[in-house]
Order: sequence, then structure tokens, then C-alpha cells
Amino acid sequence: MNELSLRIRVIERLGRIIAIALVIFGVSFLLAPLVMTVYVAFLPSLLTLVPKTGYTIHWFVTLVNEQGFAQAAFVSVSIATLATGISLLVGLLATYAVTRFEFVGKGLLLTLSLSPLAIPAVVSGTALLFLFNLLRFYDSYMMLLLGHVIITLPYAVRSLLVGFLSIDRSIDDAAANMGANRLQVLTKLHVHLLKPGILASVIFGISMSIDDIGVSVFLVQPGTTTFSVLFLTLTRGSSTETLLSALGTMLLAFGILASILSDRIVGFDKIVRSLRF
Amino acid sequence: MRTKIVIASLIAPSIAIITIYVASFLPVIRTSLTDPTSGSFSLSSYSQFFTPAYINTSFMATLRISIFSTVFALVIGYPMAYFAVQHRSPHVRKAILFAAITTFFVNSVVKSFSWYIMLEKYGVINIVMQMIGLPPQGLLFTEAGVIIGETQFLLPFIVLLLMRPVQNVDIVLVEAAKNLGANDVHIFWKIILPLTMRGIVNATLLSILLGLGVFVAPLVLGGGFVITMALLIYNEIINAFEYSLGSAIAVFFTAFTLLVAFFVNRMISHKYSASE
Repeated sequence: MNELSLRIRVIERLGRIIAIALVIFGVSFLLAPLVMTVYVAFLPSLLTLVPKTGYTIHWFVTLVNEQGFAQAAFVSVSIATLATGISLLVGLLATYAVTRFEFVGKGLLLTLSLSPLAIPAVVSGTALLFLFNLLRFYDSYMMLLLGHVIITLPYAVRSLLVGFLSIDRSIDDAAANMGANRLQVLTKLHVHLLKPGILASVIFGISMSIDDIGVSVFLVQPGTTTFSVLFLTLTRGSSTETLLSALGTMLLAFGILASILSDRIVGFDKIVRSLRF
Repeated sequence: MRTKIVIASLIAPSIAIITIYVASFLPVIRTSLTDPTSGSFSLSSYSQFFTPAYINTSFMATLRISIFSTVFALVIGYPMAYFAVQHRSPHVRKAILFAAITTFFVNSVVKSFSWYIMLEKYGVINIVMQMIGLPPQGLLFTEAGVIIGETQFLLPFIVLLLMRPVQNVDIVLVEAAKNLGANDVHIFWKIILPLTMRGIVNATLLSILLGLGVFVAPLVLGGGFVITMALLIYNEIINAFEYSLGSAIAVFFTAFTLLVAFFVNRMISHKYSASE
């Protein structure tokens, strides 16, 4: 009996140690490479991990002067902002209609607007490229914008749908009884109650747009490139790891910002709850 | 009548976008059924793809990478999700959540590249291994390297997806078992694991589905030696200009992914997803 309880104690200990080890391993598995990327960005070269000559911001300077950097920055940021804005507006109208009215094909509308999530991004990119070629439409910026509206719309629809569903319908009726018309209810009341959903859709939209590679890689043209595609192009060229790390560090800052903002504004727990595919 | 006009104008923009998206698949389907040289109807691109050379490499590699990465992410992610919910220190809980959500938000090309500088021949891991006198690893440009990168991509999803099931475990049951003399090992195997099984299955299925589209990790960490389905489509269309073959692969791959998605949706308990 004594020996048995001792064995259980040992197993218990062991289990806890393994769990703790896995958690530490997991967190470092996620973050250590990212931290290293930031560290490497400040090295004179990757050959010496501890530089004798000190750390440098040389690669950031080189990067900013790199051909295509300013252009990619403009395209990425403006497309992300515009696409997210358009998706938000389109998504607001659609989810309002879906949650407040009865009409035929509601389910189909929702399924299709969420479908870009289920279909591999590379396939969506191929399809859009073929369609634009067929229509002889070659404006790369507009192609990217439309592509990014398509890939950000699902996030808007999903977060806003959850938002609208959580609004008590009796509030609508109460407002209507007080003499508000539908437009007033939407602009004065819903926008207020929908704030978390709207912010979630903005954060997700902007990060998914800047993050996108599968769709963008088919639609870019020389002179109209996004950050992600520029990064990919540079990895395949003769650029050094240190220069790439500098760009990686800048993009990493976006990710950390999105993460902190989402915690501050929406709350991590709400994101966890709203996360579905 | 007025209501109808209101509804129509509300959904018109989304219908326009959806129509463009759906319509864009028609040229792909048409191209996949067209012989590239003669321009006539033909299934030759499909028969070209359904050969052991393509199926045994790309298709199987995609499945392997998706499944192995999911398994690794699950083994690491389960204790992470558990600690992120149950650990008594709020700092530990927050740190795990921060790691998962930040990684989730970081550009996927940057994620894969960050593992590139770790794994490459004169990279961080080999420099450290040399310092402590170990032989260098050569994981870059192998499937194992791609699986490492894909695991980093899937792990945040797994952690976030498992948090809710872990949260839903009734703490009263755990306390009751403790009072009756159950040890931690028993509590884990007899109470926590069975109660979170549904969530584990759901997270696994969703992660495998998500992993099928793997594109960036093989592109950055595969070095041309690991070709997944998504990368194959990209190569055929952008590099080889094989539009018909690329389209046929895209059509097959989309059909396969949607089939898996349909199966996953059927498998996932709707009771679970409704109880949010």
C-alpha cells in the first residue's frame, strides 16, 4: 500500500513536470524564433551571434531605402484599410438584413460570404486572376483591393453576426415605440452596442489583409506589391537574413500591436470565444 | 413592398462581392477542361494529375504535413490551453495567451522565415549546437522542417480552440473527486480528458482542415523539395504557365477540401457550438 501510493506520487509529479515542460517548450517554440528574428535584425551579420563590433540599425536603414519598400508600405497599408472599411460596411448591411428580416436564401448568403475561409487562399487567388484576365482587367491595385475585400468579408460577417445576435430584439422595439425609425435605431443604437464586433472585425480585417499571401501573390505586379509578397520576393533573392529580419521585425511590430489592441479593446477572452472557422 | 426594397438594398453589396467570387471559379473550371494545345474540351489535365508521380508526392505530402503538425500542436497545445485557463497565477495565464494570440497575428511569412533563420545551415540552432559541441542538424529544406513551421502556424489555433472546452469542465467535479481521494493522475484521465474529448476532436479536425491549405511554410522552409498541393498550384500557374494543369489541380483540391470541410462540419457537435 505504501509502495503503491509512492508510485502514484511519482507519476503525479512526473505528469506535472511533463505538462510544465510542454508549456515552456510551447511558448518558446512560438516566441523564440520571433525573438531571434528581432535580435538578428540588429546584428552586423548572422555569422557572429555575439558581434564584437556592436549592434547596428544599418539593416533598417538599408531596408527603408530598398527599392519597393515605400511602395509596398503604401499598397499594404492602404489596401488593408480600404478593404477592411469596405468589408465592414458591406458586412454591417448584410448581417443587419440577416438578423432583422426574413428572406429567401439567407443561409446561402451567409454560407457564401464565409466561403473564402473554407477555400484555400491559393485557389481563390488563381480564380480571381483568371477572372480578371478574362475581363481584360489589369489594374493591379484594384485587383488587390477586390481580392482583399473578399478575404476580409468573412471576418466582418462573423464578428458582426455574433454582435447583432447578442442584441436583444426588445431594445429595437422599445426604441421604435419611442418613435425612432429603423435608420435611427441602426445608427444611434446598434452601432453603439456593436462596438466590440466592429472593432474585432477591424483588427481581424487589417491583420488578415496585411498577412495575406495566397491571394495577393497572384494579383501583384511589379510596382504594386504588398509587404508579404515583397518579403517573399526578398527571401528568394540575394538579400541577407539580417535585412530580411529587419523587415520581419517591422511586420512583427504590426502583429504585436494587433495582439495588444485586441486585448485592450476587445479582450482576449472575447476573441477566444468568437474564434471559429 | 417597401420592406423588400430595404432588404434588397441591404444585401445588394454583399451579393455583388459574392457573385464576383463565385463567378471567378468558372474560368478555372473551364480552363481545367480545356486541352492547352488544341483548345478543345478534354480531361487530359485531370488524367495528367491523377498519376502516382503527383498523387504520391504532393497530395500525400500535404496530408502528412497537415496531420503531423496537428498532432504536434495538439500535444503541446493541450497543456498550454489547460494552463492558460486553470493556472493559479494570472501572469502565467496571460503569458500563454499572449504567446498564442501574438503568434496568431504575426504575418505567416515572418513566422516561417523566423524558423528559417533558426534551422538554416549557419543558423541560430546550429551555431548554438556547435558551441556546446553537438553535430549540426539539417532540418531546413526537409519535410520535417516544414512540419516545424506548420506546427507554429497551427499551435495558436489549437490553444485558442481548446481553451473553451477546458474552461467548461465543471470545477465542482474536480473538487469532489479530490475530496474522495482521487489523485491528479486519476482526475486528469477520468474527468478532465473525457470531458474535453469533444473539444479535442473538434480542434483536431479543424486544424487538419486548416493545415491542408499549407502554402507559406513549404515555400519558405521547403526550398523546392517539399511541394504541397497549394504550392503545386502556385508553381504550375505562376512559374510553369501550365494553366490547364494548374486549374485541374485547383478544382480537385478545392473539391477535396470542401469535402473534408463538409465531413468536419458533420462531425462537430452542434450542441457544442451552440452553447457559447
